[in-house]
Parts: sequence; structure tokens; C-alpha cells
Amino acid sequence: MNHSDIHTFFTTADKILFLLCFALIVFSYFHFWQSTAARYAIVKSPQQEPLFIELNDPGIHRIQGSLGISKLETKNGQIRFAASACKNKLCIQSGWHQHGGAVTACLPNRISVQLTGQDATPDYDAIIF
Amino acid sequence: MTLNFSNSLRFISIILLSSLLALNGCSTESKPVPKFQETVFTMGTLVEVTIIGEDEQLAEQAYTTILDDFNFMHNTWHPWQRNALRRINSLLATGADFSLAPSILPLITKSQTLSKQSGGLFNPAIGKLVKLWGFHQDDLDNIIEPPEDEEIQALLKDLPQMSDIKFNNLTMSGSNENIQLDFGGFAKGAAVDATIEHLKEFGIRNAVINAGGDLRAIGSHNNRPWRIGIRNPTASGVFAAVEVTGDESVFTSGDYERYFEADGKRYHHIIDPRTGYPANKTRSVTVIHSDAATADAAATALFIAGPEQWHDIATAMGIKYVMLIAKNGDVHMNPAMSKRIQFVTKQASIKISQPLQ
Repeated sequence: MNHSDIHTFFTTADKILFLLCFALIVFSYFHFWQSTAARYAIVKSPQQEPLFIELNDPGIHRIQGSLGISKLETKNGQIRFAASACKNKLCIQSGWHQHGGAVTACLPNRISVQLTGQDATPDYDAIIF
Repeated sequence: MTLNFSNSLRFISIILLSSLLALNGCSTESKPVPKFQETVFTMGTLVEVTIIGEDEQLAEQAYTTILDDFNFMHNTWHPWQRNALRRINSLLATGADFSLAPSILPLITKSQTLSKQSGGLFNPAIGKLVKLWGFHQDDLDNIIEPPEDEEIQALLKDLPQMSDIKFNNLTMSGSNENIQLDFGGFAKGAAVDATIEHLKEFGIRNAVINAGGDLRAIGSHNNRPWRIGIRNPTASGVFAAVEVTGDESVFTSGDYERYFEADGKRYHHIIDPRTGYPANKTRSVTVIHSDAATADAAATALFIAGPEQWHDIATAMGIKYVMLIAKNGDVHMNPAMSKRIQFVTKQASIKISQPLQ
């Protein structure tokens, strides 16, 4: 089938219909199937007001906890405890977190980190460990 | 021929377009519903409460109430603080009759049943052994070495069981001087059950309470099941997910929760009552059951049972959904669980057992 055949086979209405289909498929992909990674982290500590952190802004955030300072690192839509005043360092060992709905914490330092999207549906309603 | 070909394509396009439009129209996420979510430190862990589709004032009121519940249970059931449990432990050791303790009685009776079903693998009466290992403190970094084997064997000689607690009308007594109750994670499970029942009394229909991995969910998330992620026991991130709806608990017990390291070796908190040492064949166990306390007790028992015995113990405890990750990384599941678990990361070896009866 050469270029002129295509014009013969498909009417203008066909082409509009195909375009509509294509646009709807693209829209549906992003609306239903695209990964819903978190965009923000809500950080809570008894020592300070809740803090909202943009996960795509690379940086180190110092959070005052009950024992001392915990450092939260953000990079590429992820967050992790990079350092903490606790002794066991379990929070650091839990590694990077990126799923919407995930909650992680440094229990001894009483700092919790809850991942959330702005309007996005989280991947999980809760995460158990 | 040309006309037919074009008509066929047109027909397919219209069907596709209609389907996609219908799919968009059917989205359960399209209508925003009120969502109340709070996290709080209590019961020695981070407790996350999610309530969906309720008036904010009602959700706030219910949350405040169950927060009081959690704090009361934490203070009453804590294994090494000066509280009602400590008083009962000291009285049980004397062997004398004493008045029933209403705040702890339900925990004792339920754990007696579960301990018997588990063949003694779930045994909250071994608080002395847990204490000997040093787990009766918040900061495990203070532990520099495991206990002497002689001390462990001395306790194993006359190991207390939950059946050593006797009831006589309005009094109770202990028949083993070594009884020391430590409900561990089971207390969290029981607390989750109690607070979910309290939420129901408030008229809350859709909620999740997640107490550091001890989770119970009721209802659904705006007409879709609740999606629960299960953390990877060996790396960061989620390795599997499960959907729950109606009223179900999902509980995971792992060797990564509480542990200390000495001489380059890791010692975790799940003690095998048969050997007196941390159970060494399992990395984590996930159980789905109707109530959280049973799920919690079963996860502990199955963790100790390990890859060879988990099926027998799960059958005896009436558990229908189990996933066990062995020390070597093998994933063991019963067929019903394998239908519900969705792995996010590839698993090297998955072994499906016979169905659980």
C-alpha cells in the first residue's frame, strides 16, 4: 500500500476517528496505568511543625527529633534517612522510599515520614513491614 | 473490497472508542471522597490510621477515642514497665491465688487458646527468656553479647507454658515460678482488634489501622479493595502487594524488626521456645486472617516453625493464607495465598504447598 492508496482507503471521518482513538489511548494510559509515585513527603516530629518536602528537589533536610537530628535525603522522587541520632540505624537501613502511601519512621527519634502525591492515587493504602 | 476494509476498521475504531470512554466513565477514583489520615507513636511503634468516606468531625472524634485506647493498652500491657502486667507477673510467680485482672484477662485467655493450637510455638509465657536475651529494653545497642548457653538451658529445663496459668472462679494463679508474660507483638494485634471494633461502634465503615506492620482493614477504599504493600525483608522498597476488602488483617513478622549484633552475628527477637535461641530458618512470614491478634500469633508461630513445619501449624491454627520467606530466599505459599499475592519484584524460587484445610 503506497501513500496514495491510504488516501483512497480511509475517509476523512476515518482519520478523525483514528486520531480520537489514539488521543484517548494516550490519555487513558497516563490516567489509569502510569505509576503513581509520591511527589511529597510529610515529615512529623514532636519537636517541630509538620514539614512538606518535594521529593524531586535533591537535598538534605535536617529534622529535630526527640534524641537529636535526623537527616532526610531527597533525590529523583525518593526519600531516605541518610543519618539519624538513633543508635540502631534501622531507619537508615530501610533505604529509599518512593511509593505513594508509604510510611517510614525513625521510632527512637520519633520522626515519621509519610509519602503522598498531590492528586495522584497512591500505589498502596498502607505498607506493612 | 476497499469499502469493506475501511468499514471494518471504522467498526473496530468505534468499538475501541466506546470501550475507552466507558472505562473513563467507570473510574472508581473519579469522585473524591473524604480521607482522614493520621500517624502517631504509640504501642512502641508508628500507628497509622486511615478513615475513608466519613465526615471529618466524626473521623476526628473516632481517632481521638482510639488514641486513648492505644495509650491505655500500651501502658497496661507493656512488658517491662511498672504496670498491671508487671503486678500480675509477680503474682503468677508466687503460685498463690489472686483476683482476676480484667484489663489483661482477654489477652491471657486468647493467647492460651492460640498457644495450644500452635503446639507451644507461640508462647507469651517465656518473658524470662526474652528478658535474658536483652530484649526488655528499647535500646538494643546496649547488648554486647548473647546470654550464656547455661543460662538458656536452665530456663528451658522447666519452660513455662500458657497452660500453667489456672483459673478458679474469680481468681487465677500460676503453677510455674518462671512464668513471665510478654505478649510482644500479640499485644499490638489485640490493640488493633479492639480499636477497629471501637471504630465500628462509631459507625465507621471504611478504615485501616496499621500498627507497624500489624494491619487490619474494614470496608474498602471508595469501592475498590484496600491495596497493602509488603516491605522487602532484605532490601528497601515493596516486594509484594495484596488486596483486602471486607474485614481482614494482614500481619508480617520478620527477623529485621528488633535485633542486635554481637561478634558479627545478628540475633533477632523471635525466640524459639524449643531451643531458647532466635528461630533461624525464616526471614519473614505474612499471614492474612480475620482478626489481627490471631494473625499476629500465627505469624510468630509460623516464623518459628520454618519452611518444614509451617503448613502443619497453620492448619492447626485455622489459618488460610500464609507466605513464608525462608532464610535461603525461597518463598513458600499455600495456593489460596498465591492467588492473592502480587509480586512487585521477581522471586527466584516460589514453592506452592498443598492447600490449607
